[in-house]
Amino acid sequence: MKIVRYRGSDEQPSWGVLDDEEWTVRPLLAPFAEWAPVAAWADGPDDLPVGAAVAAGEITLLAPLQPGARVFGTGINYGSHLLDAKRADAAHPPTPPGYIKLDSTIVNPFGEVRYPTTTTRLDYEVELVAVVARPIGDEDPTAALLGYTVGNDICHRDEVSTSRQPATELFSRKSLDGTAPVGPWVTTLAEIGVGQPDLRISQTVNGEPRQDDTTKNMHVTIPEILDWFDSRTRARPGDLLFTGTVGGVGLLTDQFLAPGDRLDASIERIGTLTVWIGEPSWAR
Amino acid sequence: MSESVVEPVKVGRYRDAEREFWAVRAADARSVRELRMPFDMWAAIGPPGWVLGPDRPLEELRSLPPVRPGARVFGVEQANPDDDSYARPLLGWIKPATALIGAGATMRFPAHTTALDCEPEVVVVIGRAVSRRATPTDAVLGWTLGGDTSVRDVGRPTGAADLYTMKAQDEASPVGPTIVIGPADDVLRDSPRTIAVDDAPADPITAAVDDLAAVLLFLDERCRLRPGDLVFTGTGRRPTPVAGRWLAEGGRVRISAAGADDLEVVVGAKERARRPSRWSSSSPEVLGV
Repeated sequence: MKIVRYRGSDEQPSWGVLDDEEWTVRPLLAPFAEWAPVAAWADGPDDLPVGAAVAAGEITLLAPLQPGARVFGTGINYGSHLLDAKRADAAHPPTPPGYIKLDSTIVNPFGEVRYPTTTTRLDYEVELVAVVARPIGDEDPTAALLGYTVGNDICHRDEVSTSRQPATELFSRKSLDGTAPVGPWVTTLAEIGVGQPDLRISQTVNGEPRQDDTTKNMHVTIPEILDWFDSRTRARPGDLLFTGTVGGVGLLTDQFLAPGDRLDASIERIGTLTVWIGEPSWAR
Repeated sequence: MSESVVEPVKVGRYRDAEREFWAVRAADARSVRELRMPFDMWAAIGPPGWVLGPDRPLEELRSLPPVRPGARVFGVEQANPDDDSYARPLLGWIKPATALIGAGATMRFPAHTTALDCEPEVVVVIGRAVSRRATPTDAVLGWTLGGDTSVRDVGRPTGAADLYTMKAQDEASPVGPTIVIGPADDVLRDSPRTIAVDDAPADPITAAVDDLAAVLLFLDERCRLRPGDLVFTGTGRRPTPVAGRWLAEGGRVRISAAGADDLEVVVGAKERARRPSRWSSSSPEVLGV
């Protein structure tokens, strides 16, 4: 089942169940924390508090971010991405790197990514994004998910050393307004299952294949990542977790993004997240 | 003729049996008057134009962290002008709003650390959009005190310190108790801060930010600042850890600065890990920032 966040003809943002054969949406009429744990395993909308179907042609897709939810991420999590560093000694870090994105970093599907003025080396990173349905308990942490969506962790590669940090801090690299597309919808856990998913993940830039791998090749598994984050910032309904990108980013070939570029980030059983790169600008 | 002392206006966030609200706290700290205007409005126009409700006894209310719902929490480290060891250029980080607790609350002690520390900081509160052409600091509504609770035993997974683990712990960073309305430049530059743990002598803290306008522009170029957002402005030269030791269960942490009410919290019991972690046996180095 696919869950969308959308803006309807009344301009109000809502959650809904997408029928991607009939192309209709049935709005979810209860708070996120109530329907999400049920929707994770529901066979269809009839098990959920939904309203009458509306034609998908009457909606605008939004990023699947619950207001007030938080956005976390980790990285350097695929062996193929280590090759992007072009260093013989590149290795997975001894502990996961963590970062936070603000809600203002999130970009809607088919939207425009801001080209920050703080970089000249803007890069792309297709990522599997976990969506939390409920607090994590004693079972496999992925059992607390609503499902998964696609993320594109647009980031800058400029190295800025400081006297206290030998490499660019992740705030300036990962937390820039208008640089994190997410969507186009959430595929629920019933279709992907508990535990580490095995999904093909890829990205093209202006139609040219750049990234291609499978999520089973994560170094730190999603159950482990969820547990690591939960011990620091307890998972809440609606939270998003970026889980790292695969090899083939622009850093590998010095092919960085330019205004007007089209990005298509795809993950098997979820879908394709399409966005374009905008002109350089300050946060707005 | 004696010179009269003008008390700064202090605004807090409170809860009664029905709801949360902002209020101006009386100078004697015994009562408050509710701010009856939208946040954006009262933050922009300043005290002379505020519409206030009647006096309400403070003892009937619960004091909350002075944080606007939905506000974001930024932090920076900047140079101490006379200490070259500090970060140049600025170093930024984010705390989730869920990291914040109010005065009198209990600080969370996560299971994964044995080196819990707290940095006393001036926290700048944004009142309106930052001007990129005029004076950026005009966007400042006021300032409050903050404890930038930091986990020191973290690694350098990207070559840089893991600032997420260090800074973002849920329910660990105190702020408040009230916002001192007015410019923050003077307190950042001149007002000594102290932090005390239990009955140990308070540690004096030097200034950490020498150019607030540059800090605001650094953040605003990356993430447009919104009314209500908070900016932890860093800690200057100080002993680490506080009082020569890491925080311990039951410890009382008190942060003070001239012009502000003390911010005091208690360190909670150390949590137990829910399940074994593949990283629990590692011994990361102890890092500053």
